[in-house]
Amino acid sequence: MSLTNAGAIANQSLGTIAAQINVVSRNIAGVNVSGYATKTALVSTTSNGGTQINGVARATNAALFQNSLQASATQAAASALSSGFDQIDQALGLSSGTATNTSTNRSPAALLSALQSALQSYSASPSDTTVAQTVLSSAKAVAQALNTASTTVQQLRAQADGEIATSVANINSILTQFQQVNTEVVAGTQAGRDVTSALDQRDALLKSLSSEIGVTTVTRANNDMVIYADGGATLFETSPRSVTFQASASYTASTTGNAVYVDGVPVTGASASMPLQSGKLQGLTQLRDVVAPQYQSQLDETARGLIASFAETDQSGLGGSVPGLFTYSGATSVPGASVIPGLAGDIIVNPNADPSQGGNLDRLRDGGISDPTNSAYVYNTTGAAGFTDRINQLVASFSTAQSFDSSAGLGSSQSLMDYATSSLGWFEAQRQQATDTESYQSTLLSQTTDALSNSSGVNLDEQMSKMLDLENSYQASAKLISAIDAMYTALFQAL
Amino acid sequence: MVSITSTQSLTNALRRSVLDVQTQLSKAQSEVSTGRIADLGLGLGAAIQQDYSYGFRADDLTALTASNTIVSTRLTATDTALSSLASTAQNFLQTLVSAQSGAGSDQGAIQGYAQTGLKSLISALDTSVDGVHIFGGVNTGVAPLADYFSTPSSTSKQAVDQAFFGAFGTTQGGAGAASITDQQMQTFLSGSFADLFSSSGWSSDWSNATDETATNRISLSQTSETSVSANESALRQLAQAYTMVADLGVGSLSDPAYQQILKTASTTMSDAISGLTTLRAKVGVMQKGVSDANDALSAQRDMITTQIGSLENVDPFEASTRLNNLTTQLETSYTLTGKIQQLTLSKYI
Repeated sequence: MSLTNAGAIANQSLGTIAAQINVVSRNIAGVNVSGYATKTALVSTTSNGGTQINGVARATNAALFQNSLQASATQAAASALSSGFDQIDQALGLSSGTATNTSTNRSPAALLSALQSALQSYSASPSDTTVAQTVLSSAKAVAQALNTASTTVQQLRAQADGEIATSVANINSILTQFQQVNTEVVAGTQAGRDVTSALDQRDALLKSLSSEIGVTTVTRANNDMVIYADGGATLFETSPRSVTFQASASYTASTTGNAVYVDGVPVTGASASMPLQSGKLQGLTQLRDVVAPQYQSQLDETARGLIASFAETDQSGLGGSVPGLFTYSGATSVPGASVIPGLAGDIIVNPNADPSQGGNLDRLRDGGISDPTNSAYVYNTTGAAGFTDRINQLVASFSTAQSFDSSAGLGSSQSLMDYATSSLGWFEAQRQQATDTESYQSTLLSQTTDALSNSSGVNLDEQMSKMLDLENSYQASAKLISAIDAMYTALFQAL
Repeated sequence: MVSITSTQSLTNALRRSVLDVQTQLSKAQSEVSTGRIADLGLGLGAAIQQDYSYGFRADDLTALTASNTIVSTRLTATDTALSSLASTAQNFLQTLVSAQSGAGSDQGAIQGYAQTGLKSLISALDTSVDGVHIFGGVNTGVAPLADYFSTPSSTSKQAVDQAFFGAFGTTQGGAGAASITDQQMQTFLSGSFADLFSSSGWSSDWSNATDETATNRISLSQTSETSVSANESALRQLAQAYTMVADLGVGSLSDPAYQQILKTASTTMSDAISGLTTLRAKVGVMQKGVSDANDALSAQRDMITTQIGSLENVDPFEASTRLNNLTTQLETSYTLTGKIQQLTLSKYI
């Protein structure tokens, strides 16, 4: 009977519309949720000519989603590196000030230059103790700057190590949550339930995972997902694989940080068989294991060059050179051209030239700083107040080429002043590159996020207009029911 | 379904644009106010090495200019001292010459002249600038010459007395002095007396100065001598000429012996004067060297300042235009944010 059928259809329609309204309101609720994908109710015709809800579809764009995972991993790596550079730069004041007034710059290079200027003034007034005092305090400033720089670099490494530990803990916790959601998705898909919300959750977890560690994913039957780290190590397959890392409590120049293991396989460090390519973890290990140690080597070489430049030679021609104004504890001879880890942290101004530590300022001019009891290292044997040979020699040593360890990455032969300046240049070049990469990757990330959001996110106006349509349909269906009801009433009254 | 801009990306885009513009704005502000790149390290990258190399070179040049000023002051004082020595010596030589011709040959007066001359020589050579004895060679901490006429007797006076007594068996002005012949006097003056003013005699009895003189780096590549020592032969000859007239007891000598002294003193003095002229020329060359070096330093510094400027400076017009544009952009962003927030279907239903 067609009137009854019409009533049934209208009735079904109310249910369908209610379900659609449900979807619309879910969409509106998700309008400001990052990563929420627009849901659409799948409506089909039934055998009696009515409509029914077959399920809920979720707007997705697999390619864009993969892009956004990759972009967030690369951005996180670049950001970790660039903030490390910024931290050193600010702590040491490397790019503060201007070259026209180098006294505002606190880099080892600038302080070396100040020491050279002080020595030049001293050469004109070798009998003036005030000028000698300036030389001494400039020398102390250089030694302190190197000490501070070395400490800062090692603190940064320790800090990166701590962040790696946090990141690893975070990865493990995300993977555990991922397991729950993934199980729900697989079970729901098998049972034919609406798993769209669970899928949203799973994507959000992937997104946070990818900023910690670069990932690639494979989706298997029943929406089951497998996650690999971008180096190839398996992070998740049915169950999470353990990511382990042993943090180091303190760092010195000779400390090597521990590697991160995924499922027992090292993924960072020199022995990594499946090295990470991106993600915060990769940025942090790069900072801890490559960049910071290299800068430390340069500082150590600068310190060593300084010790060599100020070394005193045996004036009788018998013995070798010994550290003079700049030395380190336990020094017996001038170290040769190879990196001594941590020397920048150990370099000190020899107390024998420091009146506040029982030394004598005149030794700056006369020599014999290395060992006041050994006259073989005294240049000015008569103690003449106008003796300038030694001072002139020291001034010249700043611009005389000497050997450096090329493993520090700044060449093997240049003057002390040039070496220190090259190190500054090297650092700022790296920092600039890291910042540029970071800024490029950030832009890329926000563009990818926008593209993904545009393809799968919610447009409020669209949902509102849908709502209006649904409202009208609901009213029409309700009207239909009451019309059919009226018709039946008319029929029954007529009988 | 056709892809529609999602509401979230729309608002995010606006927020990001505001943040982005604000970052650029603070950078532009700093560039406009300082005229330089906001963060030199980020702006220059590897070029900061070049930038600071120039800066450090400029520092070195400044230090050199300052030390050259000190050197110049000392050289000027040296020249003044030598020039006063030369004029005193010239006058004394004239007195000696006229005394030899017999006119105004008062022995006491000549001896007095000589004593004054010797004193002024000693005080000139003891000149100190800021506590630095400029004629001391490298031994600038002590006065090169002691007062000849001091009590107790200076080592130089003792040496002269000893030599005189050794040659003649009597003291200056002593009883036997009148019997010294001109021949004996000539032998003494060119023998044991002259030895007192030889390089070694002078260093042991007279002078605390060293032969080695101060050397200073006066330009980036040039290190040169910047003082003259009290041990220069011209200065020793001056002392020799003054001393022979001042302290050999000319008043009690026979006339031939006295004449012999005058003759030898004139020869020595004229040698000394020509030596002094050479010495003053040497100082002049040093002064010229320093002043040339200063000119070069200042030219180099100007050039370096230009180089630093070309690396660090931003075009002030470009920077302020950029600042204006950014301000406008920020205002537009604010307006747009307000407008777009208003633009929602829910307001119309």
